[in-house]
Amino acid sequence: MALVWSDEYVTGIPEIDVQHKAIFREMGSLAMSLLQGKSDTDVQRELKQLAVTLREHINYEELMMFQEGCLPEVMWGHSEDHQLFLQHMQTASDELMTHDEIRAFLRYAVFWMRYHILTIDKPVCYQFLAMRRGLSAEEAYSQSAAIVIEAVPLLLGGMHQTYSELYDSQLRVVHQNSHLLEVQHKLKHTNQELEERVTRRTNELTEANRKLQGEYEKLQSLNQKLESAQGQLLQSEKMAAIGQLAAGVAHEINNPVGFVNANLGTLKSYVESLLSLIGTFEQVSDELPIGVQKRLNEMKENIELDYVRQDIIELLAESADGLDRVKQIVQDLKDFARAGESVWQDADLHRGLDSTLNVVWNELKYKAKVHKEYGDLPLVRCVPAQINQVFMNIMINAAHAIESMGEITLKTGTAGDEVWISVTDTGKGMSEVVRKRIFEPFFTTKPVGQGTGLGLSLAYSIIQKHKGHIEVESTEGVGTTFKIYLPIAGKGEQLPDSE
Amino acid sequence: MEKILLVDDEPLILKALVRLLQRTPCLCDGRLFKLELVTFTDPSKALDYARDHQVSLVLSDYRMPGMDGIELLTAIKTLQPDTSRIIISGYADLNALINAINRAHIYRFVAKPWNDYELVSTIGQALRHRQLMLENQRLADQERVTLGQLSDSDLLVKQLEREEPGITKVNWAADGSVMLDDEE
Repeated sequence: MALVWSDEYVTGIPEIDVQHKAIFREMGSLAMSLLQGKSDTDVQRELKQLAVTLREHINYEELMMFQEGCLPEVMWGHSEDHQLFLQHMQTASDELMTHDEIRAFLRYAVFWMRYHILTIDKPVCYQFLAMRRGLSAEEAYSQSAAIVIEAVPLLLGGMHQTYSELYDSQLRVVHQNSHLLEVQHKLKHTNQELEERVTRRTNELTEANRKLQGEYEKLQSLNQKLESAQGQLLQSEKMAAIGQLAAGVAHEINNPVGFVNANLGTLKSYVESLLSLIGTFEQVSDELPIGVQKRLNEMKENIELDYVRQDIIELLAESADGLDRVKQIVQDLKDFARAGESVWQDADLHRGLDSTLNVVWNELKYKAKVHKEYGDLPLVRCVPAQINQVFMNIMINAAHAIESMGEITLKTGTAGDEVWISVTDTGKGMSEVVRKRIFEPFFTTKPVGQGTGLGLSLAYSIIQKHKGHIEVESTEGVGTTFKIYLPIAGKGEQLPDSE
Repeated sequence: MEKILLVDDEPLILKALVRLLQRTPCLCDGRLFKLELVTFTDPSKALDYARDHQVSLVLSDYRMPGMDGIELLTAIKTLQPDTSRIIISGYADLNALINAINRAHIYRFVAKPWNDYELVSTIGQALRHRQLMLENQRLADQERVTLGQLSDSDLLVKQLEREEPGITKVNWAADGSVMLDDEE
């Protein structure tokens, strides 16, 4: 690439040739500096120097063309080529370029110098000489065309070299491009892999999250089940303890109740005898002396005999009533502890419901209209007497919950291997607090003396023994539904008797 | 007179029963039974009494200290098989009931608190039942004597035994002496 001066570049104008040679020298010096790997500042300083030299030379040439009287289009074309190059030159010297870039620029500058001298400077200088010989500008211009033709082989050689270099650099670009493409492709691939991995991880995470959520929910529901199981266990333990207590208490109470009851019967007959004796005395009192009669009358008034005579019968009846109530409570307690007989049978629960309804009809008839919505029930293995007792307790409670006239609905049906019986009333319902305690022994909302608080706890214990369960729904002011579930196969039968 | 043993560890129960049974006529099939009441709060004393007194009926509580009603009635049954046996109790478990029926062969199980009328009529029925049984046995024995299956002396022994339980049995001790009480 080094620029070597040859006679081909001689223009015929000595001062211009001198300047061209100086430019050639500076370019050669810059090329040498690049080759030697001199410091950036040295190289750039030389580049700036080259720019100054070139600018001065171009100014000189353009001023000369004006002074010699060249055709305006010649001046304009020459100047245009100059200015284009000067622009490139300016950019190269202004921007801090790498050595490689400066080398590329230098290669361009060399080619430009060759082309410019051969195709433009030489014809223009020929015109100068021709015009100095006395030819007009037009004649000088048309003769100078031959010089351009002389330069063609040289230019073609230059072009050939340029193409080959272009090819080299193109090849390099293509190569770099393909490398870049490869890198890009790899990047894309990596990117895709990464994205897939992220997606996979995200899915895994989502799945894990979902599982965790499911397990959490399972745990929660298990917890809930455990809580209710614990509650039921507590309830049944309470029931068992109360049952044992009740059995013992019942025995102890039955003794005094036994003799008080018998004595009360005896007392009644004693009193009747005494009263009839007094009656006889009164009948015969006329026959007694007046003084005795008076004493007797006084005493009669003192002890208010008429009142006592009337009240004593009432008193005995009331005492008997009270004793009956004690007996009923003890009976409830005994039933609660043992729930009566325990003969397992295949029973028709509809018959049980109907017969129980007959038994409690007295309690129900002024309180409620009874609706029956019986489904199809199979025979159920159970202790019918106990189940009837459950029905009875719930029906009586339903009647008690109704203040004036209401409705009681009995429904039945099957659910899997269980049957269900529901008793719905339109009574006053109960609060959540009450609902939670209704199966507790001795819990009652009825006035003192009217409920023992054992009916529902007895029902609960019977259903437990049958391996069934009981549900309660209640809304205050609307009513209550008891729903009993019993296994058809009588799962409680195999259990040993708790006694 | 029918001798009735009343056994309960609760004296007030005994008093109430005595009041009831003394005053209420005990009737069955139109027959009136006159009752002679003997009460015990200690079942072992009742058993001692039954060793040498003819008893028509025993009415016993089930739960008592020392000896329960079933043990007492079972023992009395071996002494006097023809005695009617009734348990009166406020509470009994299933085992007690089974033993009362299978071992003591009770005639009835009466629940405390009892119903006065029911109790008296149960006693009446028990006595009437016993009466029929005894009559049956007597007629059968007479028939056996007529047929020659039973000697007059055997019949006498039977009647004696019925009137004085244990009189026909003699326990010989190892040394040849006679044991008067047959402790079991």
